[in-house]
Amino acid sequence: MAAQTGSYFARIAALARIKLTQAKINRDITPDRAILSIQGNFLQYRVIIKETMRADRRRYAYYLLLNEQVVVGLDNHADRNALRQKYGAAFSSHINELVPHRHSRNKKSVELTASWTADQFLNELERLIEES
Amino acid sequence: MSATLSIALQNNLIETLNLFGNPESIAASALRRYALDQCLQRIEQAEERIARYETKYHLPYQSFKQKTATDATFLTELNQNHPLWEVDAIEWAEYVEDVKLWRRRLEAILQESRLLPASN
Repeated sequence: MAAQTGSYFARIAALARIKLTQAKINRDITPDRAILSIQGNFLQYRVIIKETMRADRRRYAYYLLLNEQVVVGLDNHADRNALRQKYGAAFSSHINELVPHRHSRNKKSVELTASWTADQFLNELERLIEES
Repeated sequence: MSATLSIALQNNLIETLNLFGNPESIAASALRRYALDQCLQRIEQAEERIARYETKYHLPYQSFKQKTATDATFLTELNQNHPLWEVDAIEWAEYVEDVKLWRRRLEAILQESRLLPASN
């Protein structure tokens, strides 16, 4: 897993160097899992990327901030609002699942999404800003 | 359960090891100690990072995870006070999993070394 993840993370890191300024990139890879952390600037926005991988799951959180306020957030943590949208009243039976969703400006609302990837996020920063 | 590992060593190293006993037993003991040290180091690193998150959010991970998934008031306050909590949470989850895995490996080594009673 380490070699495959290392090459995937290297690709994301290279893209971050192209798209972001003042990018700080950290890769923490062990035989069981890998964690990628990236922080950088895009125009006047701050970009935060965190992605973790194990053989059986990929967790992510991609955030775009302006003056430390959330402009848009994409993650797959099973938060209550996302779970309720996906499963309705039975939401509490699914707390161990990953639920991809998107937070609007200042996290005022949540909408379910397909799963995002870090390269997709970096390549669509302009569009995400326009939509927000 | 045991397996055989063949390792090429310098002649002068084997000569020196012979002064301390059977080189094969010394090598097995040294490798066991190395594996134990590595497991302990990984556990300590992960626990240190977990402690930082527990201090920041005032909860152990399992309670934090449960509350973010089920407690509307907790989630609203969390989004206000720590709007980037998901960035922490996904990493926190990995360190919790790290501790479980490395403890399991440590226990297995200790059990085979007869330092711990077998769990079953």
